[in-house]
Amino acid sequence: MDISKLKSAFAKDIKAVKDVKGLEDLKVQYLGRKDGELNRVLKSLKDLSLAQKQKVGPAANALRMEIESALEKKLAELAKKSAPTIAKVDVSLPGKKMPVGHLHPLTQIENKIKEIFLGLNFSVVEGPEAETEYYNFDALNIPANHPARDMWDTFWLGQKENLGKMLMRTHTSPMQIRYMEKNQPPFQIIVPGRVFRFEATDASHEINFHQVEGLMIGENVNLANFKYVIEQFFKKFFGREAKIRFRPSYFPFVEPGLEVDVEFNGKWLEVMGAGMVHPSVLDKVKLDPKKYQGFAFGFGLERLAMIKYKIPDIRMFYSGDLRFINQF
Amino acid sequence: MKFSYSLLKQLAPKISSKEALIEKLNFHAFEAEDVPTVLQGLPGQGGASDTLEISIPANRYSDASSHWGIARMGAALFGGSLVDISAGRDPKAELKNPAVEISISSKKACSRYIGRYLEVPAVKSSPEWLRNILMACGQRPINSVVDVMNYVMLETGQPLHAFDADLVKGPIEVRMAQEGETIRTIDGADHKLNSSHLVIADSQGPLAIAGIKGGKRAEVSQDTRKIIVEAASFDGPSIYKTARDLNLFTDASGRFSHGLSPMLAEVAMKRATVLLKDETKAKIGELTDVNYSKNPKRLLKFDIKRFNQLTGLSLEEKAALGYLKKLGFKITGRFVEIPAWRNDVSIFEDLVEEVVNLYGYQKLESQAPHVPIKAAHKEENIVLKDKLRGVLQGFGLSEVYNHTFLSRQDLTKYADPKWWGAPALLNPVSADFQYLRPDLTVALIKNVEDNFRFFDSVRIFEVGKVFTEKEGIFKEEAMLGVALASKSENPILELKGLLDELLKSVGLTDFFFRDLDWDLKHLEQDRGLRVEANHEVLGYLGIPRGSEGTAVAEIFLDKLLKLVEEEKEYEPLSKYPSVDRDISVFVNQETRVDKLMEAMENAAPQFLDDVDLIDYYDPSVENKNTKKDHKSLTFRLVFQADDHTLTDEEVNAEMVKITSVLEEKFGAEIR
Repeated sequence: MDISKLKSAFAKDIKAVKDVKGLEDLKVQYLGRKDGELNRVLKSLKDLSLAQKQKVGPAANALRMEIESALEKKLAELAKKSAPTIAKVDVSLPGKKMPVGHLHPLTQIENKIKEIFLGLNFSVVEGPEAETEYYNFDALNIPANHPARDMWDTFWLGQKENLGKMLMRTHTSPMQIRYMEKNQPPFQIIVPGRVFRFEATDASHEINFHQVEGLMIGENVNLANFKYVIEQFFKKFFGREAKIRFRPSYFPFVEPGLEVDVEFNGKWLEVMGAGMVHPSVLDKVKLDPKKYQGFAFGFGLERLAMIKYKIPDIRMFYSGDLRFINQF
Repeated sequence: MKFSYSLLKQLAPKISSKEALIEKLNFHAFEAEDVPTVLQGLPGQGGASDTLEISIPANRYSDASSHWGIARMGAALFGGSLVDISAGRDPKAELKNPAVEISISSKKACSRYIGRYLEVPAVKSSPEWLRNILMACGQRPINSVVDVMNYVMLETGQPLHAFDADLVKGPIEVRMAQEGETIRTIDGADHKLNSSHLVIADSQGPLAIAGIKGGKRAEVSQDTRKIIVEAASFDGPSIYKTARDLNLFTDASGRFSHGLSPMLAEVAMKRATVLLKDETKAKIGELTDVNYSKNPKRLLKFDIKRFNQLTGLSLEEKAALGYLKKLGFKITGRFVEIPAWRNDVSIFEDLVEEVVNLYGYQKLESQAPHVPIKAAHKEENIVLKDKLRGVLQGFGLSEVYNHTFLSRQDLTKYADPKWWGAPALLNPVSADFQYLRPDLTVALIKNVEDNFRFFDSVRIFEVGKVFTEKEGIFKEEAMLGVALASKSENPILELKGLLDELLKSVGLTDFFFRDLDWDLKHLEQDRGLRVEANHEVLGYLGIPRGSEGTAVAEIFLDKLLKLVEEEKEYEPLSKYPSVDRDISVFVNQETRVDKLMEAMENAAPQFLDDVDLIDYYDPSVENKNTKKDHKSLTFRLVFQADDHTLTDEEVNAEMVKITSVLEEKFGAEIR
C-alpha cells in the first residue's frame, strides 16, 4: 500500500469509529509497532532505491503526525460525548464571585465633573504639578513679600537649571496663565489637577490634594453668566434641589472676587472661590482687558467627594487601603 | 480678627443685633461669625459674648482692620451715621518742652513718623469700659498707657507705641539696623539684626524693631512719668520680610505688613492724645510729624455701561454711585474720589466690586452666556488616561492614589536617592515626605504589603506624575504604575498578558517584550522585561526585590501617547479556514520559550499565522524523573493562507521546516 492510499483509508476508518475502544484498535491497526500499517510501509522501504527512500520517508513521517493528531482530536470528541450530562444547577446558590475593579473615588468625582462641564461646552486640559514662581504667583498678581502669599503655603524646589525658580503648585490657577498665553478667546475650560500645600495634615488637610480650575473668557462674559454656569454645575452634581449662594471674597487674581457656598443637609458649606479675571492678569497674557473679560473659579475635589460620599477624613483618599477604595 | 460688638454699635448706632450684623457682613463684606469672648472677667455681659470674629482680607487692612472701618461698613449696610473719630482739631500742646527730635534715614521704609511728648501723673490700671473692649478683642489689659495704645489700634487700625521718655537718650532716628546689632524686646527675647531690618533708635542703639515689637530698654512701667507716643507708617513688604527673618509675628507686624495708609497715623495720634488726656490726666506736649507728603487726590471715572457689562446687572448710574457714597467715596459728577484709607482701590474694577458687594449677589439674576459654540474636547493625554483606567478596571484592578512625596527610607530600601534622581523639597513638612516620587512602584509595593493584611491577592494601579532631576535637568512625567500580587504564586505572567492586552486596547500595534537589560535597582535583574515600541522603551515589568509574590510594571504615558495616534483599520476576515497543528517538544531547561517561538515563526513565514504556548510542564517540579533537566512544551501552530484553503501537503511541508529548526537549533526532542 502506498502513503496516499493509506491516508485515505485511515480517513475513512476514523470516521467509522464509535467509541474509545474502537479508537484504540484503530491506533494499533495503523501505528502498532509490529504490524501497524505505517510500519509496514516503512519496513518495505529497505527494498527501495535511495531516491525513493528520500521521497517516501518524510511523507510517512508526516502521515504519522497527522494520524496522531487526528486520533487525539477524535479522542477528545469521544470524551466529550461520553461525559456525563451536565448536572442540574440549583439557581438558589449564591452567584460566582467576579473580580471587580474600582476607580478611585476622586477619579469618579473628577469624571462626573468633567462630564458635566463637557456638557456645558467646557474643554478639559491639564498642566504641570511642578511650577515656576512666575506662573504660580507673579503672573497671578500675587505680590512677592506680601502676606497675601501666605494664603498659599508653598513647598519650594529651588532653582532648576532648565526651568528657573520652582515650587509645587499651590493651586491650579497657573493654568489660567498657561492657557491664555496660547489660546485666543472666546474659550471655556476646566483644569483638574493635583496641588500642594505646606501644612500639617489632619482630617481636613492634606499636603497634596486636587482642584478643578475653571476659566471662561469672551467679549461679554459676566458675573451673571458665572452664576448661571455654576448653578447648572451644582444642580447636576448635587441634584436639582441644590441651593447655592455667593459671598464677597478676596483673591488677588480676580476682581470682583467671591466665594460660593452650597447647602447640603441643611448646612451651608463653602466650596468654591471665584471672580472676574483681574485686568492685570489679562495684561500679563497680552489680552486687552478693554476687549476681553471673563470669570475664573476653583474648587477642591476632595471637599466635594467628602460631602457627596460622607467621607470623614481626607487622609483616607491617600491610604491606598482597598477596604476604602472598593466601596466606591 | 476679633471685634467688640458694643464698640461697633457705639461708632455706628444704627447697627441692629449682633446676629443681623454678622449676616449682613457675610453677604456684603467679609466672613464673620459669633465667637465666645476668650478672656474671663467681663461684667455685665450676662453670659452673651461681645466678641465677633471677622476675616479681614489681605488687601483690606488699611480700611477695615479696625472698629472704625467695620463700623463704616455697618453704617453703609444699616443706614445712619458713622461717628467720625478723625473729626475735630488736633489737641493743643500744654507743655513748653521742646518737641521730640526725630529723623528718618530710610525714607522708603518709613513714609511717616509722628511723635508726641506727654507727661502722665501716674501709670495705673485702665478704666473698666476700656478694659472690657480690650478683652472682648482678645487683648490682656496691662496699664493705662499701654492700654490706650492698644485700644486706639483696635479703633483705628494703626499700631502705636509708647516709650518711656526718660529712658530715651538723645534724638530718635528711624534707620536700618547695623549688621549684627542686637536688641532685647519687651518679652525679654534677644534678637540679632541685620541691615535689612528697620529700627527705631536713639543715641545708644535700637529702642524698637520698627513696626514689630518695642524694646525692653525704654519700656513703659509703673514708674514712668514722661512718654513719647509713636504713630508711624512703615513699608509693608519690608516689615513682612523682617518678621519672617526674625520669626517674630506680632499684631503690629501683621497689620503693617499688609500696608496701612499714612493718614491713619494722624487719626490714631489724635485719638491717643485725647484718650490719654481724658483717661490718665496726661499733659500734652509738642508733636513732631516727619516725612509726610500728603498723597494727591486719587480719582476714578465711573462708567456705568462697563459696570453693567462686567456684572450683568442693569443698575442706574445714580444708584451705583450711591453705594460708593455710603462707603465714604466722594462723588463729583462721574468722578469718584478714593478715600485716603482705601489703599486697595486703584482701578475701575475695584469700584465694581464695592458696588456689587453692597448691592448683594442674591439679587443678581443668572444669565446663560451667549458665546459661539466650539466643539468641547478633552486633551489627548486625558483621553488616554481615562481609557487606561477603564480597561484596568475592567481587568479587575482597583485604582489607588499615593502621595507625591516619599521618605528617604522608602527610596534607600532599593537605592540611594541620587541613583533615583529624586528631587528633594527645600522645606519638607516632615522626613516622611522629603522627596518627590521618581517612580510609582515604590508606593505601590507598600500598598500591596499594607493590603496583604486583609486580602490574599491585590490588584492595583495608579496614574500620576513622577519627577526626576538628573544632570541638572528637572523632569515631570506622566506615568502608569501597575502591581499584581498574590500570596500563592507570582503573577508576573498575568501582568505580562495584562500589559499586552492593555497596550493593544489603547491602540498600540507594534510592541515587544525584551530582556530588561536595564539597571533598575528595585527589581530582580534577571526576571524583568522592558516594553519596546518604535525603538523606544515604553516601560518595564518585573519582580520587586524582596517581594516574591508581587509583580510591578510602569509605562511612560507621554511616550505611549505619541505612538497610539494611529486609527484602527479594518482587516478583511479570511475566507479560507485555518489549520491547527499541535506540537510537543522536550527542550533543555535553559531554553527560552520566546526564542523557540521566534524560531518557529521565522522557519515558516509563508503560512504560519500564529504560535501559541498551550501546555507547559517541568518534570523536575512535577517529580517525574523522565527527562531530567528538561521541560515539556506544547505549542499550537495556526496555518492560514489568504487566497486558498491550505492542503495537507502544504501544511506538512511547513511542519517539516519547523520541526527541523527545533531539532537542529535547540536540540529539541519532538514527542
